[in-house]
Amino acid sequence: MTETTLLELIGISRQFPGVLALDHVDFELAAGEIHGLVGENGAGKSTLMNIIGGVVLPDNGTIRLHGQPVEIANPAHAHTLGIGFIHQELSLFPNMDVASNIFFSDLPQRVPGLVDIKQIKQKTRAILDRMGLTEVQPTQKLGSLSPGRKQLVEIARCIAQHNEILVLDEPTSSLSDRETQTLFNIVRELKNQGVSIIFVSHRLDEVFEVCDRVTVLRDGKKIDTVATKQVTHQELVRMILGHEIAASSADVVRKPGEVVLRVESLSRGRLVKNVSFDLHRGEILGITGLLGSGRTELARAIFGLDRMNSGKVWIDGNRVYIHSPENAISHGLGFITENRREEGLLIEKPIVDNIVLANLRSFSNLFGWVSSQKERQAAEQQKANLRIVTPSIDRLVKYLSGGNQQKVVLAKWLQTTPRILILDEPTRGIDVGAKEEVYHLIQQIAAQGTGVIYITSEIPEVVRLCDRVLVMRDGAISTSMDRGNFTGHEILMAATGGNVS
Amino acid sequence: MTNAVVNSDKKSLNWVALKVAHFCLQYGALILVVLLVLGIALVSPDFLTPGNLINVLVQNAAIGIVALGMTFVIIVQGIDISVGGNIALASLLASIAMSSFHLPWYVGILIFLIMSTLVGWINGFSVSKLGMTPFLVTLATLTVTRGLVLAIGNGQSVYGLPPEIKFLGSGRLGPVPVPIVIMLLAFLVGHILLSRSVFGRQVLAIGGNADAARMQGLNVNRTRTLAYVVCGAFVSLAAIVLAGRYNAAMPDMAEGFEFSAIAMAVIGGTSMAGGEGSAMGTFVGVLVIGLINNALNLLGVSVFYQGVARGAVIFFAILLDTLRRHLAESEK
Repeated sequence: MTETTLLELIGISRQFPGVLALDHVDFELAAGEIHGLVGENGAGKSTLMNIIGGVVLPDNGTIRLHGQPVEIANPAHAHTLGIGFIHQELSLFPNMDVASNIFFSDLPQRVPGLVDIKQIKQKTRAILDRMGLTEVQPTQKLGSLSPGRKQLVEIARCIAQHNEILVLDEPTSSLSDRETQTLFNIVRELKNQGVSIIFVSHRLDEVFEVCDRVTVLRDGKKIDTVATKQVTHQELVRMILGHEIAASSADVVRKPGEVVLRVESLSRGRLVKNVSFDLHRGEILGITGLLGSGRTELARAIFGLDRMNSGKVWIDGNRVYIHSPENAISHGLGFITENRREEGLLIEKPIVDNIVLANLRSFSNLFGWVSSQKERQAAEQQKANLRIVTPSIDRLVKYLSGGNQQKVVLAKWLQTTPRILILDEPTRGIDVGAKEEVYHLIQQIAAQGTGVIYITSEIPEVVRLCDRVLVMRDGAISTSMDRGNFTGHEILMAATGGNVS
Repeated sequence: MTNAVVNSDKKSLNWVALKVAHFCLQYGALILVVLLVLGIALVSPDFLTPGNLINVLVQNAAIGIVALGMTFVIIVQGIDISVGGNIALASLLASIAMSSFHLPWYVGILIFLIMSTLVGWINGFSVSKLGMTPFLVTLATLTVTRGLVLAIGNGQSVYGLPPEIKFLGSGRLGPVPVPIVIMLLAFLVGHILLSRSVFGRQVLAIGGNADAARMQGLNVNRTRTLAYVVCGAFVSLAAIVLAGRYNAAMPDMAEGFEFSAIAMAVIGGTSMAGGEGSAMGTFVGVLVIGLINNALNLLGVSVFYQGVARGAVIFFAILLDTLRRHLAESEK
């Protein structure tokens, strides 16, 4: 511990069901420094931040603030300790004006209980001006601001609260380049005033631009804390990924066929810009990129969940106009969303109902009655094929493990043998063993001739599974690489904005 | 490059359309009031007389105050359909105390206040602390309060209230009927609470983003409960006005108040999704429904069709709310 240490975490561990999210992690924040926190998804960054923000309590370890041991019991307590936490999900009030948002927890009052409207406006004006947000009005409704401006208002709130420590979780994911520069200026100014800032980001170029030191986490362990001046982009990537992942031999031999899906100049909102690509029969096409790079939005637009602003889509050489998921399914598309519990499954229903749901018609007779014998046969068959671990197909899906739930979702789509299957983060929250089985299933689906789009933020998965990968960055495809021509290293460099040398 | 120019042109056109739509939805209720007044005045000569307009306000004073209370509850993403039963029960107990036990009028008023805020607190506690669904909780309290009214009062009305209470329901201050004064005062207090007070900001914050309010250190459960209590307090005021006007407590009093009050609030810009609403807006909503009811009477529309008309108005009120929400979504 140095003289300037403001916050110190010693030997912090935190266990979640099935995962050791943090394993004896030490972390030290000096007064007036900007400290980057980087690592892959699941490395433990969020858990560490949530412990500092009082959202999660550590199982063991000590936290010292100004050298005194403290227990950060809840977010409100963190707040009183002078720790401001800016989340990815904004914690603002879109229905209220900017001034009320900034001063919500400390509304100026002259008559107790009544807000001093004049004072709150003046104070807000002063802060906004200081931040260079001269166009924003204190009385403006927050909901009418751009996402980037909202984020800056949230930072204004932290300034108004005179926090000593500011935790910024992926603060630039919704900012434009100009807003990012504004943010960096503010952050540097705060630093000069002695505020310490923890800057969590996937964008390594930004970490290099703004941070003094950076701490790398991997698999719940602290790898190192280094000064950004003494490390290169490449070295940092190596620390994040650990050993270089090698492409393992594909378990099922596939031969990509003719083009099944062609997308040309697709744009949708701010997050998908002029994207074009081809998908072949029997191919597994990985799409990766950072959070907010537009991966999911691209898939949603193709599947008809969101209307595309412009762009053309061909399936099997025929121009198609997909405007609803129902429509997409009739064209032979399948979509497994990242929220399988919310969108992909009826968790209160038995396995058998879930498996046959996507294809009820084929189990029904002339009068629309569903034949329960046929559907049970099909479900039993799928259960055996997919090795779904369950005593019975009548078990409710909610009692299955994450991996088995995902297999049920896959079984559902296997029934319909789609021409094109889009998977969005299909292995999220699944343990390693089940992951392998899910990979195997996906390879089987591809071997049947289905074109698979595999969206993931986990680079090892791309290396393990995909024939080709598109790396998205800020809504556009920054790189396209074929199997054999990419390594995890190169993908991460392309996604985070480093130059591949 | 040209593409970008075309895009921005298209954008600005969309923008103008959005602004126009926004204006119409924002001030739709007010525009509706003006159109209603003009339209009805053309058809019915009795309409634009001071006597009739004062009558509209008097008739809608009690329900208007209920709509104001409802506004608070809807802003915190709740709903209170127990208001009618709440009024009937408070009125019955207060009336029994005053007419059978001959307790003074101010004790009666205390009973009104305590009973209604108590029901409001039970609603609020069940919703915020016990995590129950607002609609179902208040459906239960509605059923219980209506049942208690029948059980305690044996299905009978209680007549004969002290002159002070009658004054509050049917007296006059100079030329102005007292219920109108009470309603205007209630709306003034409601306006200050919602737009100026710290409590108002907290209520709006819960409706806008309850998680964020919690993160900022607000006791969300307590504030949400308080919103129901405030609703109960306004309901007690409505009960006093209503009982005073009838000079009685009747088992079927304030029947159907819940849905008219909700409609008034929503027409006035309160969002069923929470976080949006104002006292002024709700006042306009009260005028809209009050004027429509008055017109139906003046035009001699049969009572049966009046129900149809009222239902249609509520339908359009909810449609308005939905459109407003879609617009807000599209602006994101």
